[in-house]
Amino acid sequence: MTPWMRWLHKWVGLLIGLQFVLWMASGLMMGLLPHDKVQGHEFRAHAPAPRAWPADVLAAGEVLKQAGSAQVIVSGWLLDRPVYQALDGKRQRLFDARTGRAVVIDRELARALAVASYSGPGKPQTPILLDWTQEVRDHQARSWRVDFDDAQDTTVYLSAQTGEVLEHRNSTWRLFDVFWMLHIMDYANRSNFNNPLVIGAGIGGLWLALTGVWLLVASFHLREFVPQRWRRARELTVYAPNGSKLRTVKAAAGDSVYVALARNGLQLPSNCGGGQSCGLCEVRYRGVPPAPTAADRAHLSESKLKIGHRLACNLPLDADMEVEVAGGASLWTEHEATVERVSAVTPFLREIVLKPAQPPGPEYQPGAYLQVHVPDYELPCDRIVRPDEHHGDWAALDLPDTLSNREAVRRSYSLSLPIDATDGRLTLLARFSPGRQDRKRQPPGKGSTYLYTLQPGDRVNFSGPFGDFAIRPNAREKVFIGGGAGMAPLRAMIHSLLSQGAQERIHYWYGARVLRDAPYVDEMASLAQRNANFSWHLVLSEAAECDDALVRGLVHEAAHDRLLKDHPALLDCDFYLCGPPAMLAATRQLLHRLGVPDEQVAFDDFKI
Amino acid sequence: MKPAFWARRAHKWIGLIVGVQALLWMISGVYMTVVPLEIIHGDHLAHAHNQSLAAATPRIGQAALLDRYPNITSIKLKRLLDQEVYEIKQEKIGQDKQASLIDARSGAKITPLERATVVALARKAYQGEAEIIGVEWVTKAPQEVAKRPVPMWAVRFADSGATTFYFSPDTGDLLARRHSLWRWFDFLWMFHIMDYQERSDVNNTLLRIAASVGLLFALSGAWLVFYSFRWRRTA
Ligand SMILES: Cc1cc2nc3c(=O)[nH]c(=O)nc-3n(C[C@H](O)[C@H](O)[C@H](O)COP(=O)(O)OP(=O)(O)OC[C@H]3O[C@@H](n4cnc5c(N)ncnc54)[C@H](O)[C@@H]3O)c2cc1C
Ligand code: FES
Repeated sequence: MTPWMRWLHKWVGLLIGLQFVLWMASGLMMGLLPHDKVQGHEFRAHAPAPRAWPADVLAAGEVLKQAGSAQVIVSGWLLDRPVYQALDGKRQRLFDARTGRAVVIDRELARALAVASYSGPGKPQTPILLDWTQEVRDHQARSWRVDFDDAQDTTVYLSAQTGEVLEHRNSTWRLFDVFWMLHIMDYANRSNFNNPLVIGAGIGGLWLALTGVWLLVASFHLREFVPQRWRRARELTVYAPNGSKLRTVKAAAGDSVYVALARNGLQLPSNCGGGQSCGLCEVRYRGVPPAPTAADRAHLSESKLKIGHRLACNLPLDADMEVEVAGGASLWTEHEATVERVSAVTPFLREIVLKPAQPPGPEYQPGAYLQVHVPDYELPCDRIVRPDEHHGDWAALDLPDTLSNREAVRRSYSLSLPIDATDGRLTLLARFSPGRQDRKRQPPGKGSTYLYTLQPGDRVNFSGPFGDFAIRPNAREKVFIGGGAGMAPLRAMIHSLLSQGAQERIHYWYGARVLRDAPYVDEMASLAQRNANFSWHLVLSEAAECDDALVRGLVHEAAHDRLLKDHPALLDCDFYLCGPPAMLAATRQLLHRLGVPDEQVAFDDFKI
Repeated sequence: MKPAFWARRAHKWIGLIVGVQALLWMISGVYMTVVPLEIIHGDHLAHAHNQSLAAATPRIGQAALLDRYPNITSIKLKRLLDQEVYEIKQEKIGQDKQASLIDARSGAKITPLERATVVALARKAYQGEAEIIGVEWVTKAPQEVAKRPVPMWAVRFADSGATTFYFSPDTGDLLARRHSLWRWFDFLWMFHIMDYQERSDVNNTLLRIAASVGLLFALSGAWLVFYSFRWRRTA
């Protein structure tokens, strides 16, 4: 729900953000401008004291003879002259109360009336007769305008029918009026705040506020209100999965486990930096874990949640806490390695062989991954090493002239060969993330770009190994299904199994777009030739002749049609999956449909 | 730290301070724009049918009027139901200005108006179908007519908007038309301008502070919009 709210908030914000700023700014200004001045009270003379109505005037009813028709006749004073006003519908007329004759408000009279209602220091200018003016927009008849030359540019408006003072306008009011116009979005008449424009914007603004309040509630935690040093100290103890205690660190109550460890120099695996979006920072809570949140559910399977796995960046340290971290011991160390060999396996898959400074231990199992420390860099585009035979492929990409990464990040890469097969070298297979190439251009990925600039002799830092994607020690039939860079961990696993003399049947279904994109085709074919229990199937989604080892289609569909559909003992197979998110999701769904229990499906999600 | 970080943080914390008020501003603002002002004013509820004054009809003379009612400062000739009346204001030193209605024909004072007259006035003005369910003599003005002079007659109708008309017993004028849409408007207006007492002071300190913070809030939000979208990078 919250991501959706965020999306909505952002887009509505884009659409009416400017009007929102204008509402706030104009609202503030209207609140600041003094109401009395805006109303023109400043230079407005007090109303004259009531005077006794003289006896020597005509009776009110007499005016009807002159006026013809009227609904109301009311007495009044025009300076020193008693008058009657006759109201006839919208029309107002003025009659001398003594003579009964109609009174015309001429220029001289207008000036005198204006002066009488004005108490400021200014001198009146020549009155001007107007048919209608925006400044007294509600008065639908003619009016006299009398300007005064004071600092406020006061203007007195009088009704041309009755001589009544309509308004005192001044520069404060004029300023206010502009803000009013901006506030109600009636740019033509500045009076109708029921116009469709402001209603539309208002409803948009209401959405903005509602989603905003939602986000506010969702994004604040009580603990954020307490400065870190006032919070209680908590102890966080880290264990390895085998139960051995690794270390205890001090932390402030309320920090997340991820932050608490980071403050102590222990960087949990993460591609997103604590944003609850990469799903890599998982730890296991020892004891009764808090209820999983939406973010936990999004990244961790139900079975893991059940045994206490949670995202560390989403796990507040409210009390002393104990957690287990897979590969926990590796958190402390930052390893160094030298690039030994780089080979472009396909245009956009590159094998990088690292020689670590210290020989790797048994924890470097097939399926494990390293976190490569990607430094900040700014490099010219031609630093990406491109072999001649791939020039055409690279030329088709529209890469920026400078490649840059503004802050150091970490990226995960799986081992693509078991270490005993490589004499202690760490072999990675990295896919190039070109970014988006259409109109919404995106820079290429930070981590993959870095890896693609590496040359033999370069130094690389990493932590690890991490991860729980591993071969299960059993002799069941195994089905590997993969695509893209998912080749890496699957290849390491298969090599490891075969070299250890596994006897069970092993199938490997691998999907690529075209033959040119598929890595290690010959290697896999020769493994299949040498090992009767291993079969290799390359599935191409575009252009492929169909023969036994080359199938056209989507890899999970091909595996289904040719193997799984008619498999006599499907539920006795173990599955190992790794590939692009869409492929991974489709394959897991397929297996679910076929009734394969979740425990028999191991997968690694690269999220890319 | 990156500007996007600060923008997000500022927006979030300022939001905490004025977020709820911003929501109230939007709710009240939308209400005020969506419901047409004429409806709020109750133009659809009451009509002032002003019949014209008769050209020739016996009325008491000016001198007689002034004689009978001393200290008159203003005179208005108008109709009240089927009657022609003078509305006069008398002023005595040390006494409040007082309006009264005088029967134009007889010169007799007819105010303060009686319940029956007020009911007739209300029936005539009211445009709806509903019955009158109460007529009250009001000596202490309720909030919804706080600025009108008391005493008044309040006439309540049994319609869905709980319409109330307020009449002046001294002039027979319809002082105010109140109904639930108006009451909501007034209530929300209170939140809009943050004057919780009088509901009228647009220069109050609370509003000024909230609006200043609100402006910062909007600006930080606008700033954040720049970072929230993945802009195309120029190569
Ligand atoms: C457990 C694990 C194991 C992995 N193993 C491997 C492996 O063996 N081999 C391998 O190649 N990968 C592997 N990955 C993936 C790898 O960690 C990286 O995620 C991948 O290389 C991309 O990282 P990057 O820094 O190049 O791209 P990032 O900079 O993280 O960008 C990711 C993608 O988004 C695009 N992008 C960047 N910025 C924007 C933007 N502003 N708007 C829109 N799009 C944008 C990029 O172009 C790129 O396509 C693994 C991941 C995990 C979690
Ligand atoms: S750090 Fe990425 S999800 Fe926790």
